[in-house]
Amino acid sequence: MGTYEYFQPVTVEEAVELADKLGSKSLFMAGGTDVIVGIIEKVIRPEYLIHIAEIEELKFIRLEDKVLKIGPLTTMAELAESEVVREKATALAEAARCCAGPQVRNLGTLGGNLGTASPAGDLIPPLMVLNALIRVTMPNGEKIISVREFFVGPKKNVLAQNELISEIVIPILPAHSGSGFSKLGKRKAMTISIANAASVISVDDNGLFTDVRVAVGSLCPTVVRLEQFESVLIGKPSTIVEIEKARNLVNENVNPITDARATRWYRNEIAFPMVKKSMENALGAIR
Amino acid sequence: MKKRGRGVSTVIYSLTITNLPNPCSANIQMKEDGSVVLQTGACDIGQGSNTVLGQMVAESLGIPFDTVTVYSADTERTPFDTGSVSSRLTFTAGRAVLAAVEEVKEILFATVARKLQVKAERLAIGEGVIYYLYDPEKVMTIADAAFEAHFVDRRLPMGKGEYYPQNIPVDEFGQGEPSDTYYYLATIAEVEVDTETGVVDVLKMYAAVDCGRAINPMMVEGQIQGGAMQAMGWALREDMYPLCTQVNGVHPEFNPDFRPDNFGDYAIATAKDIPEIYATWVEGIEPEGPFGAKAVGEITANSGAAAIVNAIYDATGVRIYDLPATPEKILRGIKEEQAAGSSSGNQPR
Repeated sequence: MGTYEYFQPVTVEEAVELADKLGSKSLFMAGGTDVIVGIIEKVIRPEYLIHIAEIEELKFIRLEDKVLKIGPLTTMAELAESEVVREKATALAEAARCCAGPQVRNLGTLGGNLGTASPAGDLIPPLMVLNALIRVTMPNGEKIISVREFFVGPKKNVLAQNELISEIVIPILPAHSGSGFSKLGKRKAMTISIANAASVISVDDNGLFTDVRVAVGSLCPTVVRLEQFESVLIGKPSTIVEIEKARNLVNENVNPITDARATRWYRNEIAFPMVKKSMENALGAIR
Repeated sequence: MKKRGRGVSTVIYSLTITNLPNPCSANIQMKEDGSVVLQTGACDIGQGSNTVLGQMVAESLGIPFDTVTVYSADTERTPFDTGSVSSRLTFTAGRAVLAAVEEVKEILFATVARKLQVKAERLAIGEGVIYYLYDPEKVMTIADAAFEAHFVDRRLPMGKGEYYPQNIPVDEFGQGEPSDTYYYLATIAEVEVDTETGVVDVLKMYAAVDCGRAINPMMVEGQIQGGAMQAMGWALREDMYPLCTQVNGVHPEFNPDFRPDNFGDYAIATAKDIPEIYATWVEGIEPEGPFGAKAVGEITANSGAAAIVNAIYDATGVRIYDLPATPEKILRGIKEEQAAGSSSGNQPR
């Protein structure tokens, strides 16, 4: 597995100072479900491994008046089981439930999914449609980055190596809103998404769409919001028939590749069905 | 839209090989306390031959199963067997074991005949005793008989058994009797196909085998369930080249750079993918088989894939001719059906 020096800081401050001091060959690791695999396969070769899993101040789920604040070390299992997340950020809980299997979900974290920045990361589309904000701690301060600006390419986010995600902030949806998620893989568990989708839907008293947000993963170099598709539905009745009419605007805005899991043709065919499924789930979750 | 369908498939399987010699042998020794050691060349590769052969010894000698110790598949210490192939062990090794048991019985009966002053031909064995058929009160426990045989009659209760399946070469047209006997299996699969994604959900599988006498019913059930799962993987997911999306031999989007080189990309079913599997059996007693048994081996994996593919056809009208029936192949078939203007599949249920 190669040799590296191992550190286990217990505060955010300590972690960030370490990363700053150790330089570009240092790497943060939370649950390790991506990092360890990467090290074994020699895709990543850190000289210093900063294991942040013991930083208690990064483990929380806090519901405040207008926002839901989640610590980056919250595991997928915790997200899936939390009543607060299931109620206020349904798509995120559903996605967490679909990730991998129980063993990985007990270790894998929300921050880790963002850090790995895979276009197939299941927790990312929900954050995209929930308009999440990411608080990042740096050696000399903090900054807030919108999740929509967080990714720049496959497995590439905007973080420098000495910057640590310290909080994910999710604005609470207004009344008459719901969120939903869908995933398709080669099997029903322990599988990387061939395509996934998350939606947020808000309706008015007449059942017309007042807000539509859709994000898809594994169909582009990063997870993307389908803005054209979203805007054409505003003001329309919130029915499957209306959603079907906008079908082409999904395919026109995705550009999938052929890879080990599926071909480009297949991904193009299932892109709209996945969006539709996540919107059906969101409609069913409207409160 | 989701469409459901059902498909059935049956398979006939040969058991033992008759065109090649494939002997089997067994040694049995009953110790002075009535417990038994069986040495057999039969190799238990997980199909449970050790258990089944031990059961046959216990059943035929009327002793508790846990007093039988089986040593198997050690070329330095066990007698010859040709191998765990062709579903032959229950039948072939079973017959060798029963032949060895007969020799042990002969020695025990001779001892009891002397002791009870009766004719050996009028003795029977069962439930821990050897008893006189015309007066069941005249008994001797098997343990006592073994002890007497050892130290009074001075004949150790040991037996050697062999079984050579009949060896009939085929004629110049390749015709003949290639197997001692045959066994059968039928599978019904119920599937639900998502016509927008081509994803197949196997809802239920029903499988019944004619294994002759089911020596160990729980193992028969387990074998059927395992085979059904294997067949399902073969039918739907398992492929050495997952991108090889052939439709009638054409690779529309084949990626020549893809080389599956690890089991991470080879997706076998998880617990969440497994359907309800109903396993049962029919005991078509085989007179030549030990206790009327035949086999339940590889057959259990053989008809499931065809049943599933037939069910996909029933649901969608799409015929898949090469496995696995991936969602992409099915989706392409569905699109072709739609383009051809025909309604997809039979009447929806």
